[in-house]
Formats: sequence, structure tokens, C-alpha cells
Amino acid sequence: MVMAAARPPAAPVLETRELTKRYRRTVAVRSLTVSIPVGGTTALLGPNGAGKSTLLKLCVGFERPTTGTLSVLGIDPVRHRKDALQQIGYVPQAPSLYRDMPIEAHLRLSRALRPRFDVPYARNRLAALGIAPTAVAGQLSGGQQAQVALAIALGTRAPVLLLDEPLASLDPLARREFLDVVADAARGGDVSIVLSSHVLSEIEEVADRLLVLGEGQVLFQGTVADSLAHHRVLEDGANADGLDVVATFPGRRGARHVLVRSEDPAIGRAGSLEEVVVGYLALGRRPS
Amino acid sequence: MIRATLRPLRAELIGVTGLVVLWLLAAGAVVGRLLAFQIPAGCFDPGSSDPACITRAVDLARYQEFAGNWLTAVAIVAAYVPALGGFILGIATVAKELDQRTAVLAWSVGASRRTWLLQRTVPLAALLVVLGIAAAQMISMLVRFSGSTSRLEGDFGAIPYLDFGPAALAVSAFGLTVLVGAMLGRILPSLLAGGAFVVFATLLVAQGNERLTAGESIVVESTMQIPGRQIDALLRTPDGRIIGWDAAFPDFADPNTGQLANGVVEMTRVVPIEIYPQVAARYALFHVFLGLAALTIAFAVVERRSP
Repeated sequence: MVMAAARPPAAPVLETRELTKRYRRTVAVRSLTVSIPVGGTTALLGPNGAGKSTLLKLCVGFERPTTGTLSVLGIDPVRHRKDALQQIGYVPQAPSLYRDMPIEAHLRLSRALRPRFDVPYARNRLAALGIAPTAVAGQLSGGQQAQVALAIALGTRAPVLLLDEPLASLDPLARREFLDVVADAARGGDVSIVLSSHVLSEIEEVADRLLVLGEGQVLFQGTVADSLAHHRVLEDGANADGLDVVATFPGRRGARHVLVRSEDPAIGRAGSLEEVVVGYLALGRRPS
Repeated sequence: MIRATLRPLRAELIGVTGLVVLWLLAAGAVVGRLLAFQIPAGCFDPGSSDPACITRAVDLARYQEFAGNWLTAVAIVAAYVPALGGFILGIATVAKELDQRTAVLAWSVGASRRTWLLQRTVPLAALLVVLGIAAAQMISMLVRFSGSTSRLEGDFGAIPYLDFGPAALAVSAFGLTVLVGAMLGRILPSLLAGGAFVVFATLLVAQGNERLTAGESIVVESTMQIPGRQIDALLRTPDGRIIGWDAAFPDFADPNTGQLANGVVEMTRVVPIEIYPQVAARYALFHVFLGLAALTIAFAVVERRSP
């Protein structure tokens, strides 16, 4: 049994070493070594199949690593799943609610499953969004179901919140409402959030850090501020000789841009977060 | 807490309650029909010389025919209602959760999958045991009510219908379907495979128990007061051999009339009444062991599998 008190206080939210997860012939995560520090919101970015969901599923013990190690707040979720799960609130890609059950029954069930589950806290969060406890899950919109799943994850009062592409199936308004709640939770400061997504525009507003994955490997990791400060974008046709080129990536209206590692304001122009991420995603794309 | 943890299984629990209500209605209808005959209790005694019974001989025969058919049918169905309940609840316990992806919620909010499964299986198994014992009591009552015409009376094959038989069968069906559901994770394949497993297990236990009982049984003349529960009908040849009916016909029956030759005596293989409780308990224990073993494996499967 790993006791919370025995952990070093600065144990990363998520740490992996040479982590590989293989499904028969498909390698979902390949020799991944990352460390996400405690606090703030980390955006886990990457295209479909990059290994984002697999990484989060490994954290909650839904999958087992093929090789390598991982830990959540210093706890190995394979060997000490129960202890690790005590530290985690998890929102899956598709809200896994009981379609014929009222929301209040979900909260009571969560309390029965996890004695420290904070029913009033989750209930209040849902009330603030106008979701009645008597509402039946199957009759709620996709956005509302995602909000219920988020309220349940927050109701666990766990110090780590793992959100596995919760925005993927939401309309723009529902996305914004969802991210408002995430940002509000992050502002509280007592929860570290890892949010996986490929919707870049909205992520920019809530994320402090980026972890870009491609083909199961880390393409880039760092803070949002650093990623903007340390990269420049060259417009179509500009000479990149002698520069530390990350990748060439498609811009708007068919233009080709080049992302380079540089802090020199004389080189190209400052890129947007989206351009930095797209540049790294282009780096990770396997040549066809 | 039990209410909250079993809330996701409400549809199945209502279904099982519906089955019980349907059975009670059917049993009530059959008993009501029998009561309508208004046969005096004394008339069920074969030696009765009460003139009232003699005048009601035709009604008594109709009563006994109706009871022998319908009461027996209702009693047999009663034995399988708890098992069917175990089957339905067993599928809902894990397979439905995995199939509908709701296990993701339970397995991420709840830290321990073992606790999650315990919170479901313990109350459901207890419910099935109560249902099984109640079913056995109802069957015993119906058998007594039938005036000794039920085929269940005196038959070794009645073990699944009496005492702890229905409860044990229900636990076995429940455990096996929980296991199959945990392994397959889909409702329809689990229904099909679980059904096949339960039928196979029932036959296996019946066969095993019968084989063990063969060494403990005795063979007596069928004309005697049978001192136990019947397993098999046999014949004794004039030279003293005990053979089955099929083997007897070529040598000892008239090919035209089918009449057995003189000197061939009808015999019955019975379990002595003194050891019947042990035989019945052994049958129940086999099923309970099977159910608990399946549940134990299901716990291990749930611990390791992906939701």
C-alpha cells in the first residue's frame, strides 16, 4: 500500500519512462518518456492515433503497459491501481452515463463507489449549469452529458483531473461552456488538469503547458509561453538555410510555412500557438 | 448504499419481479381451479370408504389428472424462475456494463473494482438464494396440495425442485453468467454463451450426482412400498439378472403384444430415504461450488480487463 503521506511533495502529475503500449501489431505508445509537473492545465495534443487516449487509459489502469513505467503523483497505477485512482478524476471521450438513470442517481452511485465523493459539490456545479438532478442522462444533450461527466470527475475531489478528448463531439457553444468549467476548476489551484484534444483553438485559452504527441512519441513539451517565445514562422518561400527547422507545414489558402526554433525577432514572424502545434504535428507525420 | 449500487440494474430487477408475479398468477390460477373441484380432504386417502368420496370418484379422477399435469408444470417452472433470474441478473452485472461502456464510470470513480463487483454480486446472490428457498417451499406446498399425484412425488429427479435445489441452481446460473459476461463483455454473445454454459453445467451436475448415487442406491421390487426416491425402472429376469427395459424386450417380451414373459419382475432403483438428504445436499453443493468458483474467476477477470 502506497500512502499519500510517504510521497515526495513534488512528484509529477504524470511521469513515464520508456513507456510502450502495443496492441497486437499496432504500437499506440512508443518508448514515451515524459514528465508533467503538478499544477495548471496541460494540453495533450496530437492527431488521432497519436497515443493520447492510450496514455490516459494507462494512467487510470484501464490498460497495462507493454514495457516501461508510468506513475501518477508518484504512484504506479499498474501495481497500486487503487491508490492511483484515489488521486484521479477521469472524463472519458464519450460520457459513460447510464442512459435511463437520473443525474442524482449517478451522484449517489458515485458516492457508494467512492465514499469521499463530494455529492453537494457536484450537485452545485450542475445546478450552476442548469442541469436538474432529476434529469435522465439519456435525455440530456451531448454537451450536458459531458458536463455531468466532468461534474462527477470534479466531485471525486481528486488532485489530478484527466480529460480524454471531451470536446471531440461537442458543438462550439458546449465546448466553450465545458472549458469554462475546466478553467474555473484550474483557477481553484488544488487540481492539476491534463486535457487531451485536437481542437487547438479552444485549448489555447485554458492550457499552461503543451505536450504534443505523434505516432506514440513526444514531439514537443513545454509551457505555452515558452513555445510561443522560442519559435518563429517563416512565410511561404522564405529561406530557412542555417536555421533550426522543426518542420514545414501547410498554412492558410495553400501557403507553406516553416516553423523554426529561434527567439530572434529578426527571423520571420511570431507564430500562433496553433502554428507551433501544427508545425510539430507535421514533424511527427510519417511520410506516406 | 445497496439501493444506489443496484440502481443501474433496476430494469433487470423489475424483470425478475415480473417473472415471479407471473408465476404466482399462474400458480394461483391452477390452485383456484383445483379448489373449485371442492374434493373433501379425506377422499385423497386411497382406502377411503366415505360414500361422499365414492360419489365424487369422477371428480377426484379429473382433479388428479389436472393436478398431475398443471400443478406439476407450475411446480417445475417455479424451480427454474430463480435460475432464470440469476441468468438475467448475471448478464446485467458485468456484460451489460461493459457493452454499454458504463463500466468506465464505475471503474474510474470507484477505486476498487473488487468492491464494485462485491457490492453487486453479494446482494444479488442473497436475493437469488431467498428466491430459491421460497420457490422450493412453494413447490413442496404444491406437491402436498396435489394429493400425491404429482410426478415430483417420490422421484429422484425431483432433487432440483426441492429443498436447496432451486437456490443452488440460481447461484450457479448467476455465477456462470457473471463470468461469461466478464470475459466476453457483450450482451448478446454473453446471453448465448451463458445460456449454453448454464444448461451444460446443469446436465453435468445432474449426471455427476446420479453416477455417485448409483453406488448408494438399492434395487427393490416395484410392488413394494418404495423406501426412497426412484432413480430408474428395471426388470429382474427369471434367472435373477437385473436388466433395463430396453434390454428386456428382445428376449422377454411377446413381439406382437409387448407383454413381458412370466417370471420377469418389475424393479425400481431407489436412493434409500435415509441418505436422500445427503444426496440432495451434494447436488446443491455442486451447484453452489460451481457458482462461487465462476464468481471467483469473474473477479480476477474484472480486475485485469479493460472496460
